[in-house]
Amino acid sequence: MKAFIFLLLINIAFAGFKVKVDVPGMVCQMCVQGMKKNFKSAVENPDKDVIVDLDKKTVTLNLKQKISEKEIKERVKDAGYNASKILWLDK
Amino acid sequence: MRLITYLVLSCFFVFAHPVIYKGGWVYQGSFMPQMNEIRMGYTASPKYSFVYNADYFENMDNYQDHTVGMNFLLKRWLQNDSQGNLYSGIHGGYYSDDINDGEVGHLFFMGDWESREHYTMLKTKGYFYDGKDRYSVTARYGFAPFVAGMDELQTWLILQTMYFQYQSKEVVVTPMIRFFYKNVLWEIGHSTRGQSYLTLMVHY
Repeated sequence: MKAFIFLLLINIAFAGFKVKVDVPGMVCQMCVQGMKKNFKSAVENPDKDVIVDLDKKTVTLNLKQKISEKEIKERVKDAGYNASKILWLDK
Repeated sequence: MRLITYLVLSCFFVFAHPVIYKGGWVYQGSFMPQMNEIRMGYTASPKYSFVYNADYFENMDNYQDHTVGMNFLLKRWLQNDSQGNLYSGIHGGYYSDDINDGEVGHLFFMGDWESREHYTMLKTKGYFYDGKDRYSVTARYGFAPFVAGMDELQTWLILQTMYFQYQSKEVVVTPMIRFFYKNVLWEIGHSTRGQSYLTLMVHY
């Protein structure tokens, strides 16, 4: 039990802030590049931590630290799009 | 009056990647045997960008120019599976040809609509210099034979038609293939007039 709690705390302490953002209208590689560019400072590695799903029109972010939903919306807007829904996946 | 007519006609047309994402740079070169275009742009806001253009048209008395200016995203329509854009741009600079040299102005309007399977574009651009107003109209339709995901090679088969006043005096049709991988786009084509076409574009 102690080990379980210890591992749980470790996991919580080192887990990133994962968020999924719905972004309608993303159709091409330029959309991907725009998301990576505008979330570059919020993640450790844009190539791994900014996942754009062009089928589902979502951007999944592994953030270094939690940022406000307003900031997420602004960064998506700077990439040329609108965030229609924001869903925090952990923490 | 001719300028007004041009502006009215231009409202029906559209242009590609004049404005990208905030902080983004674009380097683009388009090359044909008798005409070359080079463009560099910095998008300061998702609504506008600053650009430098260099053009060379052999059939227009060896016309060449260097201009700077701004491009604008006038309107973007976002649907879940597609997007449409309306752009404009105005540039000014210096030109020279075999006859004269002096100031030149560019004005363009461009619209596009694309999904992951289809792509259309319509663009008109005017060149105003030495009391002349010359324009080009370009239309494109493309389709993707397969749908690619993030960081995969996107492939498009495109048919381009272009009319350039005083350049060819006819509509030039150019089938081409476009590849888009990560931040690099390139297009290779061959026109019905037997001219090869190459475009390279890098975003970062």
